[in-house]
Amino acid sequence: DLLRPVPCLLAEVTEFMTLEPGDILLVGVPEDMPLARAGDTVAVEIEGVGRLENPVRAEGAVS
Amino acid sequence: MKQGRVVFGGAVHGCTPAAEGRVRLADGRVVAETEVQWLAPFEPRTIFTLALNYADHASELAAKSSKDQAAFLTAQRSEPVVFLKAANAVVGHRGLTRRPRDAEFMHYECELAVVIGREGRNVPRDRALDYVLGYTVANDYAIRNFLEPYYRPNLRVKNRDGGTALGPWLVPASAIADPQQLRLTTHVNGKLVQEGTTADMVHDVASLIEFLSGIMTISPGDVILTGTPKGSVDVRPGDEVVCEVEGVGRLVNTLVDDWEPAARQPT
Repeated sequence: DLLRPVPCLLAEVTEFMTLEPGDILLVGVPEDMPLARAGDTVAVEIEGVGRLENPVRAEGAVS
Repeated sequence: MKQGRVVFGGAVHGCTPAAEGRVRLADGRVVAETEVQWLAPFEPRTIFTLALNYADHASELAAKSSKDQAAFLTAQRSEPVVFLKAANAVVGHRGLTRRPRDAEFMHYECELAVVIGREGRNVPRDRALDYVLGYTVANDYAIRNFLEPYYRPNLRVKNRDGGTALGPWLVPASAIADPQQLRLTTHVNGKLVQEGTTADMVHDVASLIEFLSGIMTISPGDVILTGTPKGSVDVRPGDEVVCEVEGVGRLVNTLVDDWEPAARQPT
């Protein structure tokens, strides 16, 4: 569903700047993003790439 | 003591000033300033850049913009407008900066650059200058014809390879009694084209540190490019641009033609 597929993004960005090993391109998010609230644990998963899990805590909370 | 970073004889060296346009390498050798290749005097972590921090620059841009844009530019802003810049943009003193083929209006921006030396979060304004490691000069070129209203400034305006010169020296904070009392000038091929003073910053250095550390932790190696006064002139390949900040340094940069990217080779 990417409006601009990855090869297209890489061609467009490298047209005006150099990308180096270690650079990251975040390619966007589909619609209907849920809000994250303090106390939630958020897991983002991409098929074949992995599952990234993060707890959300209120600023200043100890744990 | 002010410090630079240079390449000489295939290695990177810290250096300090020596007499008559020479530098003293950390190993004791003294060489001409023109015999070394200059890097930025420190390796930046996060590069914070002020979009508009001098009222006269905002007015100058407003005069060349649509009515809506002009209202936006000249509104009294309660908060600084800050964007980020990446490592690919950095180039040192006496460096070459490409004028991209697609540039119609490319101009210099002489800026006081503030280098952070201590980690801090929620730093109050009256303690903010304690977090400064030192100062250097920045020339933050802009490719103005790519400015558009949706997301400003975008990468084509402000994140070109080698589009931001930094240096020559990292001047320790103790050497600058008041960062708000420094004259700024730019000369193109020896002609004065830009002149201002850091006294005219809308948000002063201490306020910027308070603001940024209020959003996120600031860290050693972070740098704040604090904006530029009015006086934008289109520059062309071959032009020598010299940005000077009183007490901080004199940064030289030369514009060169764009070049063709390397032909793609079959792998």
